[in-house]
Amino acid sequence: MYNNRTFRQIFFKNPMGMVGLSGVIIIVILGILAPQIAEYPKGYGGSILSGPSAEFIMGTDNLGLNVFAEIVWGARTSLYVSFIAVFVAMVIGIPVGLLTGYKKGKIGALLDSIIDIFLTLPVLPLMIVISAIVGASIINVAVVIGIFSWPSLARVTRNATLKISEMQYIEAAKCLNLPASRIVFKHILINAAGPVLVNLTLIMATAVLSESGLSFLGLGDPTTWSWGTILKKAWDASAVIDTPNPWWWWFYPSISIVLYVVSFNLLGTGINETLNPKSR
Amino acid sequence: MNEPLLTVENLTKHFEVGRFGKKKYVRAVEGVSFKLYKSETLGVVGESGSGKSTLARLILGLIPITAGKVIYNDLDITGVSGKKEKEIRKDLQMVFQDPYASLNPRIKVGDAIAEPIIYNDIEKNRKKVKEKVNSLLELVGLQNKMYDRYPHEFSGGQRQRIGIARALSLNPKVLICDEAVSALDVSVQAQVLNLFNRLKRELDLTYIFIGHDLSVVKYISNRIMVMYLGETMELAKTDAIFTKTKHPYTKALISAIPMIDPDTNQKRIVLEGDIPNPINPPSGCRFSTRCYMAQDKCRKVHPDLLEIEEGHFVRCHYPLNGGEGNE
Amino acid sequence: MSRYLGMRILKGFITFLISVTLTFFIIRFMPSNPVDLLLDPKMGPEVQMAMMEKYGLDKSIGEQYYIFITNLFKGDMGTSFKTGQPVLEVLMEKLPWTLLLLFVVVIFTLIIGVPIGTYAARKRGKTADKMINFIVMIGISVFVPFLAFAFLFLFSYIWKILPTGGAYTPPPKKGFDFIIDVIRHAVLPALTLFTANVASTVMYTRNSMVDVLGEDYIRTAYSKGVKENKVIIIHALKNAMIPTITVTGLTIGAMVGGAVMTETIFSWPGVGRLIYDSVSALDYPVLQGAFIVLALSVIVMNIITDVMVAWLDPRIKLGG
Repeated sequence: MYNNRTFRQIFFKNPMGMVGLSGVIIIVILGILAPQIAEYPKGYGGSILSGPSAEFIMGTDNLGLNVFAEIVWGARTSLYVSFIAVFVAMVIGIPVGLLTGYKKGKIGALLDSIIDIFLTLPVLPLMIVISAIVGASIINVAVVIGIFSWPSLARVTRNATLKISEMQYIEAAKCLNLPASRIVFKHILINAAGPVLVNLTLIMATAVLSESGLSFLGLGDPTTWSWGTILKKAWDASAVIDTPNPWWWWFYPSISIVLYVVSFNLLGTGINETLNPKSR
Repeated sequence: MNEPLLTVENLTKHFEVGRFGKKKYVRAVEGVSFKLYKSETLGVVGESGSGKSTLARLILGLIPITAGKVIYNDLDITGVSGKKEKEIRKDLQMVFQDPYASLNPRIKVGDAIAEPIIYNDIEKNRKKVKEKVNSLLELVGLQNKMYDRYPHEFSGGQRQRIGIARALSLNPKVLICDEAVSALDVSVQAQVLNLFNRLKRELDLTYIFIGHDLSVVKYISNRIMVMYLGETMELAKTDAIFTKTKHPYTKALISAIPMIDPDTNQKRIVLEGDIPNPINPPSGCRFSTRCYMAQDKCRKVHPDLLEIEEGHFVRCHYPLNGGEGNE
Repeated sequence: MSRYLGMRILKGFITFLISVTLTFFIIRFMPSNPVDLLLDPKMGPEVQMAMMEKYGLDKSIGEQYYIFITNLFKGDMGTSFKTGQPVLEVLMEKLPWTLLLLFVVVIFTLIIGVPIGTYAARKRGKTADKMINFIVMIGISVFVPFLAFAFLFLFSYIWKILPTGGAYTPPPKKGFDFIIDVIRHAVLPALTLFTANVASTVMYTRNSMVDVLGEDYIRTAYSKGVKENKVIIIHALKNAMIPTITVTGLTIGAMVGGAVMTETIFSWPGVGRLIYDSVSALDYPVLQGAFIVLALSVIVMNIITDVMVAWLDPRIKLGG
């Protein structure tokens, strides 16, 4: 995109992007204001497994705790995980992608093969193995997810860098004696920002899928509320096929996960379509 | 003629292609030598694939040299690096071909011109830098208020002017214009060419002007060098190139220039065949496969570049207009 | 082509070695005492000493690694803490079930996903395409347990037509009845995995078909009067298949992760479920073995898809 103003003009007209952005904003607000919105669920509550009502808009779980509160605090966890994972991935992936794309040659090709190998590994099983051993805490889980996310980010960055490095304005920059660091981190990066940004939203979305999956399998942080943990508790209590069925207990966490992931994906799609008119 | 500012000796570039032992070489530039004199404009003409753009990049050190030397101000700058390289670079700058690709679309035009000034330590004070940028913009015929605009807001011709302003920001002595007007509309070409001439006078510049259109190159050059398949075929003053053409290739190029007057008795010389593959150039004279005057010797013996008359060089066994040739 | 095949297998082998080495080092370098991780705490001290000797836990890391790798290639992956069975045996019991599930899912994903993607590509920009894109968007965002729960809820709880778990209802019947029983039990897990993965296949098929349909040689075919159907099937599909098959290979890695959760929820006796069980039971040899087997399956599947793509792409096929 030519500049930020043009980008915003086009992006704000993109329906998917706007829906995604709204979703993300709502989630962020919920996460930040969690303490104000609902009390941190702990201990025992009064009515067990009661359905949605005026007092408990999403019902209660088998300990009588407010499911809505669990969801809201779970949003906070999801955001933590997403941001830490994305941070880890960025710190490793972007410089690696930039440098191997700019200084072509054997190292770049070697790295590309390494990325290939990483991409074909079954990620969830490996994360399970690592989490089982490293121990469950939000930070650990998030860092592990970040470590598995950097290869695809590096690849996207590298591909963009390879393309941009061939442009005449980069050749001109070299001719004008601009230092390599300036060329890579300003001239190339601002042009690569688009696809990189899209990949970042993707990482944030899949980070929550991974974290929920791990928590569901019992490898999540037991001291924090996460949507995956809620589902694990529900599953362990046979909530899905129980009679009478406390559907709210497993439905709301599930739908939260879906909405979270959909929001980030839509945001990414919106950004992508804004940058590449051809894909509309 | 004064002392040469830049001397190029036997400049050669072979690009490696193929992998795993099946190495082949694209002989992009082969043994090019010439002298560039202060305040002149040396035109370099040739078809695509003739090696002209590669030559420019070799001189500026943007790609490594396979063989040969570049001498600037009596200093051998071949393969120079580090601080020295940066010093020399300031004097030798380039104006690029594609106005739509030579400016970073995400950087303001004024910043693009300011950047080299700052990073080459020419000026550090922000206000002074901005002043310099503005004066450069005016110098190329644009306005100050355009500092904050982005490249896409300008036309092709304007973008080329910005590119020129950027190249001039380092106060260079030599400007290499690599097909600098080829991507512009004809009317705009004339404007930019006139700008080049004016800048040359005002700033005492020396140019190497690369192009594929002889009529354009003729307009701006004092001397012209004709290249084919990586080699120099003819080098002479502009006038001599046209009135005392010695190389058959040059003659064919000249004949292809459209003439307005329908009565002119010009016959277009059409060259048969395709340009040979630079990986496997023809033995003997590289032009022999398409030359309409080729003889046996041409296909077997590679002609040297000889100075037939004063200041007029030809690479041909049987040069036209009664020159001596390498008999 | 044979050269490509050779290089590809080599790459796969290296990937395998890396995965295996990763598991080795993860287990041995983690904060917890590696001895605890590999030795059954229930064993007596003499047995522990014997085990330590056998697995070389008293030796240097390099030697341990060597023993590990040689044992691996001999098929010895240790014994389960829980059941005492050799890990390899346990894996061999479970692997066929997982492969069955994955195989069925991949086939259906391709049979259904590709035509839908193609349809969306042909109607690109129109409402049908937009709707499909939207559903796909949701499809790739779905959380596997949610799908499992939803299907379980509908089919087992509300409509009560399908069983809630297992691969068959014990005691195992014979012959054809057995097959029917397995099929009944397989429907929900397969449906879950299928739904989780078909969206990405649709998306990739659609996008690569759109790219291919926009190419000049396709427009040339149209202008020569070739009917649209024929054009699509003969020219476009073959080229569009290349990225689709590639992506199927990549999604197999993701599918395996989904399989872990699906098998756990439906108690499907495959390797995925095994991972979950072994984590709960702290049965590390089995966990390690299960991971190695999954990694191997993914690598092999990827080699197969890469080779198929290479066969379709004449540049690689003829280039050697």
